[in-house]
Amino acid sequence: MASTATRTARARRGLSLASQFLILQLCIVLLAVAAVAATSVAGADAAFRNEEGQRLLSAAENLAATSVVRNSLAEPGNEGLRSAAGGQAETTRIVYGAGYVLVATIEATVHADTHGTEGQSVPTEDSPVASGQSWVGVRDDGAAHELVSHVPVLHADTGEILGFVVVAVKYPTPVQLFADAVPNLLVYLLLGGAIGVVGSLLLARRVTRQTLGLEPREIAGLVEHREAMLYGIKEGVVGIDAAGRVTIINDEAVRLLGLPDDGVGTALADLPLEESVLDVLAGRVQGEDHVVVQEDRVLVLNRMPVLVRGRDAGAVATLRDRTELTSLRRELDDSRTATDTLRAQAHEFSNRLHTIAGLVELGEFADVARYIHQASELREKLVHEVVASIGEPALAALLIAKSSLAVEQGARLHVTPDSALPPVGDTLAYDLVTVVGNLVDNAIDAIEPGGWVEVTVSTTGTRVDVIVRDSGPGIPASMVEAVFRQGVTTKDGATGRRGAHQGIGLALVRMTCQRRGGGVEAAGSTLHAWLDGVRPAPVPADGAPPPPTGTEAGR
Amino acid sequence: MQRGMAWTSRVLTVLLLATGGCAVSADVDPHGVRIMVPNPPGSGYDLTARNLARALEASSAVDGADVFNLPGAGGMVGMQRLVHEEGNPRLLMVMGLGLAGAQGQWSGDARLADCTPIARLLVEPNVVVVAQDSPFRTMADLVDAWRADPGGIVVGGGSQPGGPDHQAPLMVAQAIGIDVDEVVYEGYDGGGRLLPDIVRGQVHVAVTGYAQNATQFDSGQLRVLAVTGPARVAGLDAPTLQEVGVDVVFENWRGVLAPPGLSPAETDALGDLIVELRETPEWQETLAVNGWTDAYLPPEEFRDFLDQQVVSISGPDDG
Repeated sequence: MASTATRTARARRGLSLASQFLILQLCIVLLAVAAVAATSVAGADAAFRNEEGQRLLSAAENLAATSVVRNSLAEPGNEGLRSAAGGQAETTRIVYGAGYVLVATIEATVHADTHGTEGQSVPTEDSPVASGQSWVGVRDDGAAHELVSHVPVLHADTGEILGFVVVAVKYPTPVQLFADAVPNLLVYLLLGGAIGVVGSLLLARRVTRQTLGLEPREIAGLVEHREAMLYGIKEGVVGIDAAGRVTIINDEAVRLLGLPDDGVGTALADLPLEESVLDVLAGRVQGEDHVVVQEDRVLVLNRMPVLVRGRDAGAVATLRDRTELTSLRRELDDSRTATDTLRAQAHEFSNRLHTIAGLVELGEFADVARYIHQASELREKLVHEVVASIGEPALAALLIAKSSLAVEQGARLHVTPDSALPPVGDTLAYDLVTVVGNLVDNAIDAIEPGGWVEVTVSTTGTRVDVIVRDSGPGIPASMVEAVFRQGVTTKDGATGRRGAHQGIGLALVRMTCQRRGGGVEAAGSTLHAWLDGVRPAPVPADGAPPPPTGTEAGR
Repeated sequence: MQRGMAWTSRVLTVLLLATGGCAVSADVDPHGVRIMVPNPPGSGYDLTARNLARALEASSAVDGADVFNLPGAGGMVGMQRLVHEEGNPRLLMVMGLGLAGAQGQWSGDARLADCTPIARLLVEPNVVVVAQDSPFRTMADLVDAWRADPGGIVVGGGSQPGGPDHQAPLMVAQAIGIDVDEVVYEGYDGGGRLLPDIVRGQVHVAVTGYAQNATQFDSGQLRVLAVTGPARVAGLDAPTLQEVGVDVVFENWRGVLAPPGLSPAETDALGDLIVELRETPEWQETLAVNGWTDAYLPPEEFRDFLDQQVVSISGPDDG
């Protein structure tokens, strides 16, 4: 199906790459042969004039120096000498293969020659032979195109100029010159053509192999298509070459990484990225689905090394935005926490009911009354303790739920009496729930049964401080910085409750704090987080929903 | 280089003219140099010219060198032609002492002084030769017989009267006390036809160039009685004249002339040809084989030398 489409497309576009190469090559070969032929003809023409000119001059000089010619011209009336001179001229004509040879008088009339033209005038044009100089020239009077040499005949004793001899050959036509110059032109042409054809076929094959059998248009189309695809997908994609430079990056990746521009061609190390992101992109950490925090985003990174024919050609990294997913998970966790809490409470409740039922069956009614009183008092004390200091309902609810969870695990969670937090509005409350929830979860996970967790939440001006201490071993000093980065946890992976989610909690806490102009630090088993932006919410007088706060608008 | 470019441009001009189609005739200027020999083939000049052409072609300083003979009047017809060829930068004429001497008997208007001297090339000793069956076995035999009957000995030579082959026997005669007016001299232009007359005995003794007859010495047709130069010739078993008590030292020289009217650049180009020629192994070998001694003189010095020669040779005759 696909190949049929390709073939149709190719046919529509006309010539294949190989054919184009072939035609181009043939044109070049033809041009080269034509140029060679033209230069050859010019060269042959020059060579003909030079070589033939020398030969004609030699012939004429020799004839002019013979005594029979000299004597005949010195004694014009001597018919015997004249015919002897004609014979000498004929000898010269035959020996040199000249067209015609004649002996002329100083008045430029034919004195003796080989074909009976005695008495006719000899054209001398610009020949200086009359003044005693030899001459070679090309004559073209329409009827004849010839190369002519003139040599003066001097008297043997006095040196007087008696006349001159003329030796001429027919000038070859351009076709003859061409044939002389390149006798094997056809062979060269065919040879050149054959080499050209073979060369272009080989070249085309090679190019086709290198381009995976695609024609240039197809390659261009493919590139455009891939480009469009790359920019069309919702995930961020970053291509990195073997030298660690960004070769390709789509808009989504630019957005997720918060880059100022596409940064194509820039070395990874020069990009304004978190160390952890760089580690993944550069392949310094192994594995899949690295969860990292870049600015205020939680990203899932995957890096696939690209191998081209066994050679490292860099890597492609994909980025997915997990910020929302993490939020959802957070909420899921919260509801699960609530479920756990309810379950724990239900369990506790049923235990107490069993106790009461047992006491009633035993008829210990005084004990029943005391037990019920004690139980409700404990509960109330906890709720009171929390509600008294934490005015924000969401946080208070969380702490109460967490304490139930702690109790179920045989531990205790309590809020220090110096805690104080007024209602702060939904958004900050949400962030506080994230921060406190994560810190407390971590603390509860860290302690043994029988341990304790202590939470202090206090406000100073617009700042909220959260301090969570526990009886656990604390975070080793060497890992303090690492745990706030992503992907690192002090929890044992096998027993951790949240699987892939582990390790992200503290990073999330730091991200949330930083977004609110705060921070988080750890010292042993004490974690201290602070956030800014408390705007005490007006207490609703009649239970109506609170109006939007300035904090909301500023975000 | 400059010359080559000039030639190329001329050829191009000719091509353009010829292909233009409107010109009825156009000059063609063949490359290479043409070397004129002013006497017949077989002469010392001819030998020199042909060796010169061979070595020039080997030096690749020229694109071809062509030799032609234009005999007449002891070389003066050739010189007349050279004067006619005024301004032709690609014509050379080989000449020597004989030509300088021939000018004295010349009625034409061409003079050595008109031509452009290019270089003196070499000096060559003459040899005194007799036929193999001649009664003169040694130079002393000849001297005795000649003294006894000065008019009975026919002396031959490859020069016109006044040329080297004539001067040398006159000097010998003078040295052995014979009145030069009694000497009977037969001149053969270029010496080519001298040889048969010696062998036939029509000429009793000849003074001629060594190189052009070397093969006859080797084959034993001629016997060399003495060498006229200051030293013996390598490979030739003959004494110098001085060794046999005749106080004469005589050497012929050869050089090349170019037509009159050359530009200084053209003259220099021809001069450079000779400089290049002398560096070729072919020319060195030619000198050695022919018993010639390199006697190079550059154009200016050659001109001065020629002036002296013309005066010293033609002076007595004119007077």
